[in-house]
Amino acid sequence: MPRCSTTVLVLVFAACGGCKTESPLEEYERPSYQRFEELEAGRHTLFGLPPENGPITEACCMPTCTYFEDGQLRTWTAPQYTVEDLQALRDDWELAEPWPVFEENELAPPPADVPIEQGVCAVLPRFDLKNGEGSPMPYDLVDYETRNEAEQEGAMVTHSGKCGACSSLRNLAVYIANPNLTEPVRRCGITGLIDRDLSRLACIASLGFDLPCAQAWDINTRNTQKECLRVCGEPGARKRPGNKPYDCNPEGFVPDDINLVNSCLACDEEYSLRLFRDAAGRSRRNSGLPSPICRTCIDVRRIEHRYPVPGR
Amino acid sequence: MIEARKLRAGAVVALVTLGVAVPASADPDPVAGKEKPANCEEPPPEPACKRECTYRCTCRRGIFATDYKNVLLIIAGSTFAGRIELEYERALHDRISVLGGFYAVAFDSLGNDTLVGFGGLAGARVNLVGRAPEGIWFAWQVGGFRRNSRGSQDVVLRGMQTGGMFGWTGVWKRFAFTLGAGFAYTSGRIEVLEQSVRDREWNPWLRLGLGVAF
Repeated sequence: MPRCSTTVLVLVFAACGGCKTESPLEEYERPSYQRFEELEAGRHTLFGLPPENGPITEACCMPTCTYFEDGQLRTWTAPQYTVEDLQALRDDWELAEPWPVFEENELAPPPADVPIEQGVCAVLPRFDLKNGEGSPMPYDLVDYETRNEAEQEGAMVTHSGKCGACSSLRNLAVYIANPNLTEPVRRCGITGLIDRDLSRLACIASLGFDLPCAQAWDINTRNTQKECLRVCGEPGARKRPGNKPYDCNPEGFVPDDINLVNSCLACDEEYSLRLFRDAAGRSRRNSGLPSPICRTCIDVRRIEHRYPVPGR
Repeated sequence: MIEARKLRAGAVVALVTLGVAVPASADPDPVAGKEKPANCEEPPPEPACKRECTYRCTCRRGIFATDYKNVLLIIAGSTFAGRIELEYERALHDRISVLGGFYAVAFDSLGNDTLVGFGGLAGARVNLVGRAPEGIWFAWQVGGFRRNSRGSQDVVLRGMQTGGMFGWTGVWKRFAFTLGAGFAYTSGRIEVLEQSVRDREWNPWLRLGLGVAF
């Protein structure tokens, strides 16, 4: 019997050696906007990439927002990024000083009176640290009061609100490559419940995040498990779509409307959103990235993630 | 004497019919019913249990009365987390056993990384009801682990864990099965892109295993 077990283990290792799969970036498929092409965004259209046959139709939720500017109604559609765009985010830029890790994997909640969505976070190239042609451009993540102020300093806005552990361009590439980021992170959370090897954080990091950003997601997941276990643990809760059925022509939307999302997500947003935004800095909403969870346009920032390397 | 032998032979036949294993010396006596020759020696006593009985003098095999000393289990519960986990337990005494285990991580729950990991654990188990390795027990275990995940980037994870659990092990014929629940404390370090952090946590520890007794 022991000989048989050894053979099984050897076979498992041998099989594993040959089962290397592509990294998530190489598996990335540019999301198709084809089903939205004939549709026109209206004042009450939500922003997102709704799942087909979900509770919200394409006519109600699309990767497009309308907004008023200079007295005119305009539309903005989130760009579709290619694999090359994502690779450039990872290879062309390098954070000069890595974001510090959260020691002991703990984080204190921010004070309630501090606004989180104030100002912008921008990428500021550090020409003084450049290491010759072809090497990644070093950059700092800098908080500015306004977009204009950032652009005057030669920085490129990457999201609204203050910079955090997930603000780097490397983490942005993971956000773009995984439009439905909530699902793999939730699976990592379940792995952590079954497994005893601190595997939740390692699982999140294996999506491609650097360590501090993986920690921000891990702390968020842990806090949600603690506060929302009853709501999110209901039978069928995991398979429930992110949004609830929603009337797309209401009198008006409320920012961060918890009636838009299912009870588990609503609980997560009530108990963990502030903690997560303070730690991570970047969210899909404040980065202008559509996700399968439809959001009101008033919560979404119109940001295009093109970061040309100066002098290249 | 003859009547007693007939009764015994009948009982043995009944047991064999029911499929219960019996000692070899309990086969029907070919000379049953005949008068014992004068020079015949007394038949040897039935072989004793493999282990010396202390409070249950029976060799019957089955739940709570096994005479097996060893159990080899595959811990099925952790397979959901991508593990192949084997555990060996040996009874040292009616109430005490020691155990050792090894696991290999064959895949991760996301399925998008090559992930190689292994770990081991050792511990002792005290039986509260029944004879080890069967019965209701309390176990304390310590172990260590290391994992390397290679996909979009390398993630290295290593640490130690300890924990206790209550559980039950049953043996039917040669099949062993076990259930347990407790808590484990894990402390370790995770390394990603030249950054590392210490992490620790308490986790529920659930156990479901199937295997053989011998």
